Amino acid sequence: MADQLPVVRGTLDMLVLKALSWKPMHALEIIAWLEDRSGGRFGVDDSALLQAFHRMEEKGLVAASWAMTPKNRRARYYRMTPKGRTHLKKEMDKLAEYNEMLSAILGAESP
Amino acid sequence: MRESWIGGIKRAFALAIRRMSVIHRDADDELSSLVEERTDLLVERGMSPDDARAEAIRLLGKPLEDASADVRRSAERRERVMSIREWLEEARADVLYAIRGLRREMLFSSFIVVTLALAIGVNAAMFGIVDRVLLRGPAHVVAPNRLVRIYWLVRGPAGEDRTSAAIDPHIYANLELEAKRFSGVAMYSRASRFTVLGNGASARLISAASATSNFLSLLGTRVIAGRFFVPEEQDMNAPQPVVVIGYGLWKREFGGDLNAVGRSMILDGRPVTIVGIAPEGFTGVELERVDLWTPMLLRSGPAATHWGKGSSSGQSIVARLKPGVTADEASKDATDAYRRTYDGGNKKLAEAKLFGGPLTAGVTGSESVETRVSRWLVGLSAIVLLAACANIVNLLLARSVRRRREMAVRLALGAGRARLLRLLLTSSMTISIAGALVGLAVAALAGKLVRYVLLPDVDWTTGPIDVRVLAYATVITIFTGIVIGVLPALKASRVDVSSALKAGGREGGGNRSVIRSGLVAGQAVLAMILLVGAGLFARSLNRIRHLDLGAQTDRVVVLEPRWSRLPAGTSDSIRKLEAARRASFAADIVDRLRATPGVENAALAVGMPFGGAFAVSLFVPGRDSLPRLPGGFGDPEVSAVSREYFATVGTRLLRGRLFAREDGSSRVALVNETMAKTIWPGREPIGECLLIAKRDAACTRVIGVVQNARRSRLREDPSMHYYIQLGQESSLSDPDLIVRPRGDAHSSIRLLRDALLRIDPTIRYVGATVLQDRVEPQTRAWRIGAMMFSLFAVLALVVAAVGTFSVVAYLVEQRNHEIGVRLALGARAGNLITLMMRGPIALSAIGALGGAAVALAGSRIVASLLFDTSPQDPVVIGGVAALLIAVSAVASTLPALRVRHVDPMEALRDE
Repeated sequence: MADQLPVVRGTLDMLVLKALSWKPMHALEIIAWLEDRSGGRFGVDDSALLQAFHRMEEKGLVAASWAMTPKNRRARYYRMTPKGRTHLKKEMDKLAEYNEMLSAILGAESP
Repeated sequence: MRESWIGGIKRAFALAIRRMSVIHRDADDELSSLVEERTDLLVERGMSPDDARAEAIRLLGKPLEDASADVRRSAERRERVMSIREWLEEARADVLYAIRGLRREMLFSSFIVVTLALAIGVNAAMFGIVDRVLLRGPAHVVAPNRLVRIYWLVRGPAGEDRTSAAIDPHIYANLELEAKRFSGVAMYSRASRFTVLGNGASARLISAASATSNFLSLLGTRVIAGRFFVPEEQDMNAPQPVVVIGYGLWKREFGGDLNAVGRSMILDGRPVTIVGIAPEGFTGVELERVDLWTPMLLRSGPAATHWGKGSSSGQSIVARLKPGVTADEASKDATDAYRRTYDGGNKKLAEAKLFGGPLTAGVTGSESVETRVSRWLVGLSAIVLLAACANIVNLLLARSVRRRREMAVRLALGAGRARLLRLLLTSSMTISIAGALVGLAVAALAGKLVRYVLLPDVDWTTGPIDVRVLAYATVITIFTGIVIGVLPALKASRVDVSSALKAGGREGGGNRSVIRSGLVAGQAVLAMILLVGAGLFARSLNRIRHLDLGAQTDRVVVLEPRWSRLPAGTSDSIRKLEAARRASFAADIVDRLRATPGVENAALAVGMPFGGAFAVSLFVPGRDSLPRLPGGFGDPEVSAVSREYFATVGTRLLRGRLFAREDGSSRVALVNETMAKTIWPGREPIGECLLIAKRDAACTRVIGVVQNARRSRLREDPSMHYYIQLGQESSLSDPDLIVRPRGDAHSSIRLLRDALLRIDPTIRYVGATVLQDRVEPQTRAWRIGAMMFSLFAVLALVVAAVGTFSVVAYLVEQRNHEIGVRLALGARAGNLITLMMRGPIALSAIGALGGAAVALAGSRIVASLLFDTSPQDPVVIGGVAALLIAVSAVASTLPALRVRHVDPMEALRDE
């Protein structure tokens, strides 16, 4: 297993929203999606993630309802709200801009 | 009923607890589902089920119990925040719903909003008044409830108690030394509006008060610049007169320049130095505006001989109670101190009492007019608010009948009754707030009106709407919102779904609501109470207007020429000459003045109605002593007047003759009716002999009897009074100059001033008062009463009319179908109109009856406020009852006439 990286503050919401932008998922589906995409470097405890989902629900970024999993087990499914969609887009734009700035500075070749 | 309340509370608690357990169960379920899914996933990847489960729990990052607690907490938080948000969103939707509802029925809404605006606005305005007059006390005074005004209680000649706040400075000096229960004692005089500022053409009257040097520190405040007075300045012979100017005067005259301190001004013709500036709105312990403060001049004269005149311009004492001392203890101590130090030799005065009364009391120790007025204002405006609420509840109930179907549909669709209640309460709160917003404009206007018309002397420093008024308005708005909402909401939410839905498009027929009838009648009761009050006060005022005062006060102007002081260095002989000239000025010019165009008559008098009374010892041959009447000083009052006095003032001759030219210097007198009746009962007094001043004086013959004239009050016991010719009694000198102008007295003042200035250009200022202006302050209580009762009664009448109108209008609309059917079956429209009107008119008649009963029961309270009017006056009560019923008849006729527009065919088509 590769080294796990801590998630930068404020970006977790973005990652979860990105996962949910494909389809509604329950908690483990979101976690598994993030782990797969990160190549195993995603290092947040499951219980903390669950609390993060609740917080996002509280902020109205996601909404949740109970439904059955393919294995016929009851699970809480999260889906992205319109507010979540705008939030994701805005945050991604901001991050892109920030990256651009960082690389412009760090990639400088003359003093 | 009570059972169901308790049940409701229990249910609410149970609900909250159940909700919490549901949240926890959900959180646990979610956590275990996560763990199970993770375990499955790991098993799929080849782990043994046991290892997989252990790994799934490890991945939680903490023991299962801790994780569960964390997740429960975050779920709780989420639910809390979301339910608040949901609540707010619902509230927003409810408000929008309410606004839409109001906009859909513009007529209905504007009735309601206007009614509420009037009621809330008037209440807020009244609170503003009461706040200043009663609650907050005078501006800048620290702990006003620990301050007392000292009253002097003296037994009068007929054994009655006379209370006065006007006290001799001598007593003050003694109290300051001897009274031990006060932490401080100060003396002040009320503002007099007759001080002249400036010189010549720019001279104007300002309001000046005086106070002892410790006044400001006693009240707990200080000047904003310079200083207040020092004790040495209280000496009459202080070399340099000083003043402290009020904030308003400072802004007006000096543009707020701090260098005003040290400057000098001309006050009553002499230069004074400004030593300080009082804080903004400072009015001492009274509420009247004070432009300028002068030091209280304490002369150590003869002991207290001045009493019982109750003059409002006299000096008063204010004292601060020592910590822990009650007003009663301090009063006792002050009385002891007074009696110990009294050395005037008058038995009655030696036995007088002192007591400390609250600052809100007036000159006689009882409630001041301002206090009483403000208390009434609050009570009356509360009645108006109640009437308005009753009215609106009624309208809302009427509307809720119309909305039954809507409510039933909502209930059928699954809305909870609690949710429905909330919707309706939000709606009533929205109405109340809309009313309050418009009401603020009403409050600003009403506040201004009341201030300028009813309480013009109070120095108002803030506008009619300040933070405290706003806070009060908010409270009554919420109160109103709840009051008007609860009843209709409860009723609407109790709709029986199936029957309401079954009734189809038509609303359930004519089931009259007892509550609504009660409200219409109750509203009529309130209106009736106010109307009776208005009627009684209007009648009192009318009585006062037609009162025969024994003088035509509105036709008489008193002129007081004032001269500048002579410049320093004027020789004594010139001084003497000038003083003599000024003293005889009035007598010298009265004939010239009479010949002036625009002047009907002019006279001189020492002692006149509302202008000062005098008494000298009087003896009548054959009698040891004269009877004493409760209204008098003891000895009969005397006036020394010129021949034209009676024609000028308008006192009528009853028998005998008036003074005539032929009388020359012969000693003749006129007596008033009371004196004639008291001293010579059943006898004609003409020809009788009066011995003035001394028992061995020369006889003064009575030549006639004149009507009684008031001494100083509208309400006073008749007293004995006689008139002698001016100049015959040396102690009665320095007469007033009285003029009877042609035409309106007030508008003639300029002409009279010009005439005097033409005669003597050295006059600095001519004081001119229409006698009526001295009477007017005494009629204020009745004028105020009549005005405020009328105002509120009209308001209540409008509210009641609007209520009746809309109730009948709804009734007609609601029974549209029934009316149609009846018309189709041959009923005559006229009969149906009567049918619609009968109820409301009967209800207002019942209300009028009830209101009359309440008014009669409460007649004892108002009796003391009326003037020669019985609180049970049948004309007033009958008249206003008729008015009320007539108004409700008109208000119900208009909408009832709509019966004629009902189309029977439409009704039949529905069938």
